[in-house]
Amino acid sequence: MKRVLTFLLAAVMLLSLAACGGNNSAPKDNNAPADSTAPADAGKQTSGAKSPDNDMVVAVLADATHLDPHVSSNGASNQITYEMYESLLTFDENTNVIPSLAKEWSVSEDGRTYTFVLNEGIKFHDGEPFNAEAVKAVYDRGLAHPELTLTRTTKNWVDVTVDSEYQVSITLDEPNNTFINKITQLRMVSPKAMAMENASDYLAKNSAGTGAYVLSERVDGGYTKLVRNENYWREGPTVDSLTFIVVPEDASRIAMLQTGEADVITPVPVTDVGLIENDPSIIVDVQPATTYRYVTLNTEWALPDGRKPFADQRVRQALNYAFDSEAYAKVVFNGYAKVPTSIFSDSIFYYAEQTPYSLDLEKAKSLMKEAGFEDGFDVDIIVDNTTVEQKGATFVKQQLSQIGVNVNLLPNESTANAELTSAPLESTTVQMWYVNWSSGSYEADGSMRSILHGEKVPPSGYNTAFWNNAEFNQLLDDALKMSDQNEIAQAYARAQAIAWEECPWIFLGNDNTLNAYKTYVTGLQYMPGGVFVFRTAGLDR
Amino acid sequence: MGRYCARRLLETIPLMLVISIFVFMFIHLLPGDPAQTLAGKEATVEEVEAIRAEFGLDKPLIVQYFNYMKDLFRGDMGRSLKSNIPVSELIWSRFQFTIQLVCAGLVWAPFAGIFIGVICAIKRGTFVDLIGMLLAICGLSAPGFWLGLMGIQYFSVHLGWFPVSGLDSWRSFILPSIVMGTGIMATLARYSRSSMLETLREDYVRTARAKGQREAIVMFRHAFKNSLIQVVTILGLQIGGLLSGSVITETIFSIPGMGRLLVDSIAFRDYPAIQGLLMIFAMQYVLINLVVDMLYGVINPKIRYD
Repeated sequence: MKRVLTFLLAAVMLLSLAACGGNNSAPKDNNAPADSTAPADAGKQTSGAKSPDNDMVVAVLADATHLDPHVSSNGASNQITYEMYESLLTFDENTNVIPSLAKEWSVSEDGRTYTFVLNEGIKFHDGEPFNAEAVKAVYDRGLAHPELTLTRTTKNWVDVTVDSEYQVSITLDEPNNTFINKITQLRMVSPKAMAMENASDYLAKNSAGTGAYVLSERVDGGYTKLVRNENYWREGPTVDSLTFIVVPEDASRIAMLQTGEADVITPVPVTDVGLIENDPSIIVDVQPATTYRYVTLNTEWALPDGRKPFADQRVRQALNYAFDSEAYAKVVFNGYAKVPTSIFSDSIFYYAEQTPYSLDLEKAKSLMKEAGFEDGFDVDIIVDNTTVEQKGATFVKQQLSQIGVNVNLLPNESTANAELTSAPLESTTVQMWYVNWSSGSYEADGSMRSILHGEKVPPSGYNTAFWNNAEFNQLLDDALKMSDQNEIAQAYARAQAIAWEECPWIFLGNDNTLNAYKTYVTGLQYMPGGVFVFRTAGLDR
Repeated sequence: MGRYCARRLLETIPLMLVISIFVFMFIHLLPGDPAQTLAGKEATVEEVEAIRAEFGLDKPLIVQYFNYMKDLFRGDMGRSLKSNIPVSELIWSRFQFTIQLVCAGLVWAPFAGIFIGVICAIKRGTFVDLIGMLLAICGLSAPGFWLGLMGIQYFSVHLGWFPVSGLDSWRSFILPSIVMGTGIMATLARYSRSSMLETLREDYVRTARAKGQREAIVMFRHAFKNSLIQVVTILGLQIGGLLSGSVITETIFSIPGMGRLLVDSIAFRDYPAIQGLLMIFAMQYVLINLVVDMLYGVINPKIRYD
């Protein structure tokens, strides 16, 4: 009987080993570019493999919430609508603003009126012509439906004038340097579709943009299939179809790429990249991302004895000196993150490099002593309850314990944290918040205002540090109305220097995004804001 | 029998009402604000308020409940806050995947489980019994995610026999079917063995043997049939559990079933979707229990429905 048992156990173990064998599951190489800004192609060996078909399949982590590009949505929705809808202007892969539906643009001397000359002969998927009236119709939709997300872009517009069939002027209430960046996020939708009684319902099942792909079919939570727009107005894709399959399990996503069921997967979890990085048929692409990670320090929070530790700049700086960002990048992100050198990512416009707070425990301890906190204190940190977020917060806890700060982790679902962090000062329970921020339009204002401006304390924004620096606020407000690039750059550089010096946060790091695709995928571009460009992508057959 | 069924179905109405109140209360007790989640991180207070008003989330809870029930009686389960799709349409589209998964599991597991259990009972204490029960214990202790991921690594990645995701060809059903069915097979093997052993000790089995009936007839006409009552009860509960969606199988094989819908809806605080799903799950349990009760009469005609 024992023999039988031994035999069965051995068989089970062999099966397990066989299943794991062949994969390079060794821990990730920690020499990965922790502080490099250059995108790295970890496996650029080509195997000469060819695609068996002309249908591009992309395995993604989460499903789109809605396909109406004017409804609030998540990153996955943004990715899919990006392929079906276009904007007047767009970004290239180096985050420069370039023409798209508009072929040129100019701004009036007072900086309030922008005039766009549109490309001619473009049609929406439903056959409607794209022209100046169509641009105005988008603005009108926002006026009629204030609940739509598009109003975030149009809220400071006061007028849209149709100058001619292919020229349109947009007037703002006052000059705003973020306008050009923000207009890249405003997708043009067919006026006929928007005029429907249930426009959002229609747009959830049909596409009505000018983009290179047309919506073909969709199973909520399952997949979204797009087909090539045969009437596309410029050089379009060569693939017949583009399907986004929702694959929430990391290991399944990787397996799909290995078997060729998926041609592209995003994201590749940093902990699992070892499984595929030596596969000659796969390219692992490391790209800079705009996601910036930090811990907010509530400057108004008081200990039971009434002292406010984070109100003292020396304490806030001490926490930064006690935090080893390089180790954080290696431990939490397997090396696929960058040491922070300002208060937002270097992919953002007007980034100004600051001197990093390198690990210096002696300095940290002496600052704590000067501030009267040499014995440390107990503090709670709220964090989303995903594995990687909790791992990061645990790392923060370990680092701060070196200077006597005892951090207590409070993991919650993100929806519960969203409620906690929107509570105003009188009722907030947030002491520290482990969080991240990214700006899809790469603008400096969007990377600072909602999270650091004195007027953006909850519930108006996410400044849960309750940090309020008059000079910083003024710089942001002034810069918004400036039109001279040098002046704007100076203002934002000064603002970054102030926040960096005052440390309303512990500056943690800046993610890289890992994507992977088959070597036969060609022409794929990736934007640091987290969007692939499939218009130029193809499959080598 | 017909009257019994009608009575049982009528009894579900007050039950569902009570369930609806509990479900409504509990989901609103969860911390988190769907309007905030829906508006996104850069939303202003006004935008959040506009969304709250649009979905009626700004009204008192009691008003929200009565509005919900009023619509429900008209057959309208509301719209998903997340996707704006009618909840009934959403659940129906997910149900089709879940029912395929459940069938894939049920097509082999109950038969295999009962077969193993009965054979083990008949061959009690022998090598066959040992192997059978070892299989059952392995099946019970192997977590679904482990089984699924191992299956994918070995049979999909290495051998290339089955696809990793989806339910679109007979091959794609094999791995999910194994993951879905293993637990049922193992549970039923254990239960049917013990149930069969119990029945074998009954007087009527001894009498049958004393009458000189052939062993096969004793086993299958007298012992096996009577041992099925307990097994059917367990099977009913198992199916009820499967129909509520198997989050793990659905997640690993990327199948948009009801289990994943529930988890996603809870994470998003999509109240109408959670409410709709939980009501449907409760209804499924009620119906399955009814079917199980009906089956008792088929298995043992002495059981009457008065």
